[in-house]
Amino acid sequence: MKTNIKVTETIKTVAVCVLLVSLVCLCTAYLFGFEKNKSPEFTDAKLASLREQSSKSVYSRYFDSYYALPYFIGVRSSDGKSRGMFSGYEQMNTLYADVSDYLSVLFGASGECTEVDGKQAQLLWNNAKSGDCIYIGYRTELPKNIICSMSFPDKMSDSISGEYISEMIIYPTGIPAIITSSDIYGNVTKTELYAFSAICRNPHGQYFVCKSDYTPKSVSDIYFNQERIFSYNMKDAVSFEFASSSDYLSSSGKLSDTTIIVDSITSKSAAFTYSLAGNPSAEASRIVGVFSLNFEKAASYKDSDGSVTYLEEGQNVKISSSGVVTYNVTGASGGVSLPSISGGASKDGYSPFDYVGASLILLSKLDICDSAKPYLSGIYKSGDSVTVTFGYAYDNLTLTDSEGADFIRFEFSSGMLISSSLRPVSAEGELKYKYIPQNRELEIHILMSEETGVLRPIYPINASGDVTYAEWQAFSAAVGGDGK
Amino acid sequence: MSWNNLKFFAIAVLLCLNVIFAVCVIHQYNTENYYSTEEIDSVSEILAKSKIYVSKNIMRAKKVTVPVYKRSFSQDALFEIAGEICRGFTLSQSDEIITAESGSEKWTFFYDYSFSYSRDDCPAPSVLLESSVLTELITTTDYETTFNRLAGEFLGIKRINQNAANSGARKTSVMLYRLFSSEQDGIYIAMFRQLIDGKATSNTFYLAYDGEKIISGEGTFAFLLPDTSQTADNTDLINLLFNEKRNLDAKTPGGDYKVQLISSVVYEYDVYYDTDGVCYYVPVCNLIYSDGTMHTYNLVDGKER
Repeated sequence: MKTNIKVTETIKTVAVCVLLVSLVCLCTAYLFGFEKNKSPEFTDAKLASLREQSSKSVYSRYFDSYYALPYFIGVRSSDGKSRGMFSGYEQMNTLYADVSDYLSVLFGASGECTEVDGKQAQLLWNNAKSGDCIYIGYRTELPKNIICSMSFPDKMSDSISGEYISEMIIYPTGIPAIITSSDIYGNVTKTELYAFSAICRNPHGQYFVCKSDYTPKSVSDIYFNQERIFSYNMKDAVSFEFASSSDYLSSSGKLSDTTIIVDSITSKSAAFTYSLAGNPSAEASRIVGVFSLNFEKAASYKDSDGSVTYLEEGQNVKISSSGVVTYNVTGASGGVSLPSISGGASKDGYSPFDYVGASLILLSKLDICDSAKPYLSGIYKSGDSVTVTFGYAYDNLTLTDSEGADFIRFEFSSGMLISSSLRPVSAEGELKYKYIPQNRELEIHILMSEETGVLRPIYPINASGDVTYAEWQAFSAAVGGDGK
Repeated sequence: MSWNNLKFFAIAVLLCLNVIFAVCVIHQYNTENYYSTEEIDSVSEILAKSKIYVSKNIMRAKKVTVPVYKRSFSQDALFEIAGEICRGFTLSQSDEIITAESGSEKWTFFYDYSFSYSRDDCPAPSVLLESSVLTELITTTDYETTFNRLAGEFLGIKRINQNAANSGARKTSVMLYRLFSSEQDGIYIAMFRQLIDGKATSNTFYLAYDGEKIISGEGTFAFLLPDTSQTADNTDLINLLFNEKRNLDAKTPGGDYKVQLISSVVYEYDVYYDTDGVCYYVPVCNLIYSDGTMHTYNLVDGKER
């Protein structure tokens, strides 16, 4: 009997315990179950960011440094010593990659760029150029993030802001960390490691100061000092100066302070011929297809000047006998959507990245560029439309035609390509110009003569924008140069 | 009250509480995982105003929660897998690509998750697609079996899944998506989708097959499989259906709707890459109509693709 009672009591105790444990489990499941209190690790904001980055990732395959390569990079010391370089893709690329160490710090996550107004900006600019500095001049004003992504897609972070800049001076800041070292002979050397900042500007007079809280601590860090910036390998380097002031430059729509070459350039001269690339008419099917027209079904007619126009409902493509390709949307059913160009998802809004990226994809598909490389010459917004333009450069020297028109133009509206014109250019010949006088504006252009088919180096000579030619070397006659 | 009676009382109270909480938990589970009949009826009624009808089985099925997967890029890991796929090939790597060559065969693995393969200088599938007169074939089960096996063997799917670089990662496979044939050349060009955990992804690639062997290939395929799972707030199916109705209403301003039946709902992954090379697999939901029309919605933000 006693045993039965004991067993019953034990069962009751066990039952109470089991029920208690069960209750706790159920309470826990009720309160915390089904992950209802767990905040998601992957959020809408992350998705939005990924969408943006993913489209850039698609575009980055088409990015190439020559689209936004500086026309000039130079280093100067406070005592007036200077070295600069402006031609040669390979050399400029290497130099630009070296200088990008500074840009990755200043434009990266630890950097901050703020606009500076008026006299303070001018003062900062003057101070920067009067000391040890690196000067970078771009051909045109472009968003900072596009310049960097185009040039260093693997090096730069995604957080670069998009201020339009055309020139930049990188200069040392703060008190340097001093590193002392001695060699086996007991010679002691001191290395001053400066932190650095940059001041950027554009032709509209906007100035931006880019700073970072980064401080170099050892010689293996990124640091600024005179020895380091003068150690860059610059083939055929020229001396240069910052022009103090010039009415001519102001009247030509540029800032009154730019870079001029001090040296006469005699080591390299240009002798070109140029020709319109191949015969795009033979590739009409491919070109028409790039603009989403069905070559087999599109109607076509030939003009008296030899150009052929391919028509489809709402859009047409015209290919001239000289290779100029023109695309126009004429009706609501026409246009090429950005997602169909990039293969990406449609978005609520498109950024300059999307328009530039889509333009690069189209350029790549059209495959009309030869030895003359296209460079990004502008991104313009007007109302609902965004226009992306490209010029040409040969060995990093800008090519300019007699009319000054854009060589390549893509116009977008509401995420659709609505018009486009492309003039293919093929430059041939060796870069061998003989003589460019001292103290001329640095932006050396090469004028293409439609009549003679010869590219000739030019430089401006007066305030009204007149230009003159550099002298030619005698040998250039073989490829069409005429010596003057 | 004696100690014995107190135990009885405690058991009774605890039993009651257990029953109450069990009911609450079951109710909560059902609420979170299934739509109630009232909800289904109410949603059906609203959708019917735009003549959208949804199969009841879709609404009654358990709600699906699909995680986001991700994988960081590693050049070394890709090199290891490239070596596994291209056994006997000479491998080399640069800042942008890994190449593997053996005789007339050449593989190129790009760091943006794309690849290309050619043999005997055969043109890439994209070139063949543009230049050849092709017929699209209906992908029958026979074709699916044959070509899925071919692609699986060609890419070495088993070895990719078992490779140490993919240890602990989700499993991959391939699915024939479209098939073209050129009667003139006797070449088949097959388009495949990469599957992760049995769900299709937006990674696609093409293989050209001459009847005996794969002669060229190109496309996007994640050889580095996702190894990290992230929780995400999946948009409710009902909200997706409401988004679908809203989109249809916007496209049909006159209210001239035609009757449409959503016959199935399929979950897949869209693949995104961030600038650091991390690959994300974000779930999407395909609403498939009985006439074959498909509208795809992102499960994280509920927006149409």
